[in-house]
Amino acid sequence: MSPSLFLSLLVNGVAMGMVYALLGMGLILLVRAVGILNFAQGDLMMFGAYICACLLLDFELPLYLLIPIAFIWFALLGVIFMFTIYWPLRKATYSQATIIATMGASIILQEVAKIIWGSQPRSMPHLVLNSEGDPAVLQIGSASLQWQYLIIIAVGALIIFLITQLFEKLYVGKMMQAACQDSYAANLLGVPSILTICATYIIVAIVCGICGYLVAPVFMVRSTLGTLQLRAFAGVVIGGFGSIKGAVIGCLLVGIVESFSTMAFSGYKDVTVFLLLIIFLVFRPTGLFKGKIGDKA
Amino acid sequence: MKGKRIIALLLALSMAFAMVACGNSANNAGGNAGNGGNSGEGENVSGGTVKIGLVTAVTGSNSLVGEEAQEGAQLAVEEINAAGGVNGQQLEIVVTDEVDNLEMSVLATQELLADDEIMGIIGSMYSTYNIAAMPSVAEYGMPYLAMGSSSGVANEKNPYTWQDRPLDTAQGAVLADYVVNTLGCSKPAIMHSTQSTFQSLADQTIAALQEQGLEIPSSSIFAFPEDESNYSPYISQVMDGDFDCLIALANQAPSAVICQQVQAAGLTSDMMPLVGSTSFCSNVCITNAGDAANGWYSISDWCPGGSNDVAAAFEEAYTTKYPERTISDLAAVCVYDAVYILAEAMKIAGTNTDREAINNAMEQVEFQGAISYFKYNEDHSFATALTVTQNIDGVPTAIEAVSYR
Repeated sequence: MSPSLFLSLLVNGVAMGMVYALLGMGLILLVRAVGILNFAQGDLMMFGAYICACLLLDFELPLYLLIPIAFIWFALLGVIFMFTIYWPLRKATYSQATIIATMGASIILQEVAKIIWGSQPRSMPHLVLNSEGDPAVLQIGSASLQWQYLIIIAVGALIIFLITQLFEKLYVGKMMQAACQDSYAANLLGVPSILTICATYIIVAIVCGICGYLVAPVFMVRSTLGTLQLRAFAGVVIGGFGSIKGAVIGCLLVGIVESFSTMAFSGYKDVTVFLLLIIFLVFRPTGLFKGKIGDKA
Repeated sequence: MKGKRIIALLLALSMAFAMVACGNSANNAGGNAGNGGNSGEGENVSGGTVKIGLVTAVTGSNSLVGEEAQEGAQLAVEEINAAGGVNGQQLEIVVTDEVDNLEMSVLATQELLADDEIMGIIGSMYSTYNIAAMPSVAEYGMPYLAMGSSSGVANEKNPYTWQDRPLDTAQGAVLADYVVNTLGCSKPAIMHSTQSTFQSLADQTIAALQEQGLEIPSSSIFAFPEDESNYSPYISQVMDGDFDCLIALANQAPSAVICQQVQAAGLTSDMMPLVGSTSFCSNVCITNAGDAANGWYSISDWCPGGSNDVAAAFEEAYTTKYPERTISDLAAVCVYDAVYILAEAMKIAGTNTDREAINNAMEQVEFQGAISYFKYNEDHSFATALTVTQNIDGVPTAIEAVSYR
């Protein structure tokens, strides 16, 4: 393998891993907050991509207006998602009811996106273009690295850093997690758990939306964009369910393995990833890092 | 508490609605448009109409293809009805929803098969779905036009199954011939979806390239799953290898993404010829890939505007009726031609009620369609030609029509 090919595959793998990591991190936050595995995580990303495409292509908003308006829509999406999918079923006899509801939400989000924006895929411009208006590449030796992938890596790393700081270091984040995990005690102390859960859903929806905005120029805006979440699930399990650090590392591993596996097993790329998952489930079911999910009081 | 119950009820209803929408049962695609009622000639099947079933995606991830298929069917039905119908009766299309999975496609076909008033079925655009539905088709003795192009459909030797598109055996041979003898390539890289249609087309193309004397090592074949979005690792390997041509075989939406990612990676048609399957000159591909689709060749069963008068007339009628479509796409024209084939068979059979007679008459069908001239072949396919196209300034341009039989 030539160094340029190695570099290209590595950058691609890390970028894809970063996308999975953003999705996976959202999964972990929701599991920590409400104990629910969200099967509509990828579809929140897809919906975020459609919202950005609508603001950028239909309303032709400049970036400085697009970002705050998109954030408001992402937050709104998170709130609606929480109050329609999680909240009515939070006290259901069977906790699986909410998980099933997220599966239903996945279908609904896809169909709603088609009703609003149609079934035609939409094309979004890359964030960095060359003088001819084509996607720009960074030339390192003979390797051509797409700027969009480099931006995904940079923005993804920044978001992961900020979220980690919020939930692992800051008092507010710890309070949010504690309140979510033991709402009874939180309510006794005067912290309304509905607000902390709502805040978590908003954060997750915003992260998914940003993720959608970042991948849309590369993969186009399509209702099937949500299928990327499957690899995020694999990454989260490999990393250790419940650990943000584990989810990020697991997802990066999945992205890199996926990218390099195209060299030897191109038709079996997914098989390689899920084989890795099975190996971890057999030999290290707790994943690379143990999670922080405790039983609720 | 009451409010919560109402919210829970609303949620349950919305989910139920979604499930019902996904499993949408038969609905009419407006095939009655222009229905003037029974002229009094021929047998009275159902209030003066003769019904043809259409299995396509009304909901789900392939619904864009389904929309186009219904549009093509609607246009053909309106034209035929305006010209007096079939054996004096008006045509009507009954649509069932295959969503985007094999199980639903088979169920949708069975739903049509069980309807005694339906005299022919236009099947899914996907060969795998066609093959899965074929045993039921044989059981009911229903004339069935599979819209998939895989030779696997023909290999089943089902007496009631027919195909109006050029088979992948022909596509592979024409593609290989063009790549080697016209474009002068000797070391092509082949990227293809592993969906059965494209796996089959890839196999046929590789076999045809080998017949042309080329060596195709496994390192030059890049297969990817149908739901793939990230083609960059494959493209990086193509650019890193010493290939002199890229052949890409994929569905419409993936073809647009491939064009974009090829351009984004810095690979241009000046560096090596870029040759795609028919999807690469589709409306979906060109509209979404923009200038990234320029320069791509296609060995296509349909070039919008085509290379004959019927194709040109279809294109004009279609874009006039559906102004939101700037150009037509494969699903629309395939189903359009399929309606005409079934109508022609009914006319030849002289009946609108006898499925067996209609099926037997299929062998005598011969006319100029939009895709190509249609003529019965032993493998139950009708098409006789393919078109080599190139996308120039956002327009798929026919370079030459290649008759292969």
